[in-house]
Amino acid sequence: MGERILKFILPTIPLILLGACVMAAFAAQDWDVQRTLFADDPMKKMEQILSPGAISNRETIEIVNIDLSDGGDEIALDLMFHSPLNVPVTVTEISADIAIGDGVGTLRLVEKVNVPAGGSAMINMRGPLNGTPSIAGGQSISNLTMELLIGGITIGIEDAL
Amino acid sequence: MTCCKVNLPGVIAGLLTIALPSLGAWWHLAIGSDAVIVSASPFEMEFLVFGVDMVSPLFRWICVGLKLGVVYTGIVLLTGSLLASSDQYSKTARLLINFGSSKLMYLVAMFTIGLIATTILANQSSDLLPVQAQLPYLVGSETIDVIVEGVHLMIPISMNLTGAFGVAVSAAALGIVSRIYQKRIS
Repeated sequence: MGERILKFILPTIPLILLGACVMAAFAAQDWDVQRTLFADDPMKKMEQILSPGAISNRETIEIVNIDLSDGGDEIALDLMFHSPLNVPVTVTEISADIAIGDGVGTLRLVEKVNVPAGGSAMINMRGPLNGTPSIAGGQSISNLTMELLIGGITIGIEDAL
Repeated sequence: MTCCKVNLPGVIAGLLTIALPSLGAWWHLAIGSDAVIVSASPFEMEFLVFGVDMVSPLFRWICVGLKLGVVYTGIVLLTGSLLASSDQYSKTARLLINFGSSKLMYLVAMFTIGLIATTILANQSSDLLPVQAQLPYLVGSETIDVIVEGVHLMIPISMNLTGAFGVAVSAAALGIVSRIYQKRIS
């Protein structure tokens, strides 16, 4: 008789424990099924990763300053990078072709830039120029490629503009 | 009571089983360096995407239930193994050992098969996607190279089993040994 009771009780206790924990999960969230299953709204969780700027369609890259060297054979371009992510981003590589007046050249990143989570950072680019450049003649940037490192994942983007 | 009739493999297996939930995750997965971190065992799960916790409260509570269940199994096995020295309670001891000895083995087997099956599914489904990836099975590292519409992604993936998994396998094996040993001594 004792053995039969034991045979019944032994496997029943873990089931009771598991059932009690499932009940506790719902009770802890005031019996709200959605909160028990997902904690926060999945959209809110996405917002925790994406910064509000990304949702409001803010420009990711903004040209801040263009400087020509005295001889006109070198150009410096400063870009402001607004991170659309709420995680730190490292800009490891960036290059672009630039046409300024009658001068053309290729710009490269001076050094790696660390952009804080959801923040902005200045990207400095330098490069040689050919032809006769002039700032008054206007400028156009093309073939912008960049490489970002986000949480150990490398993202290479072509034509980022 | 005689000391030599104590089911020693069962005592060790019981103690290891009781300690198991406090030893941490059995398996780690990292995508990137810290983009996605998964630490899993049958009774705990950590799933962080860029530091944001993605585990459902219900699942967390189920893990608590499983944790209590494993500790309970360990106590049953330990009690049975100690009672084995008593002639009066030898039948009860055998019952307790039979119950407690196999549960951890099922848990280890289900966890391992579950991970392997998930990896097989992921590898099979990659044929349907533009991403061609061959993930390692349980342990190893791989870099997934994806080019989609001008975006080139290089995603390092690494996974490894922990010392806690080794303890679980040892405890499960000792549990089976204790069952065989109990048949021999009773």
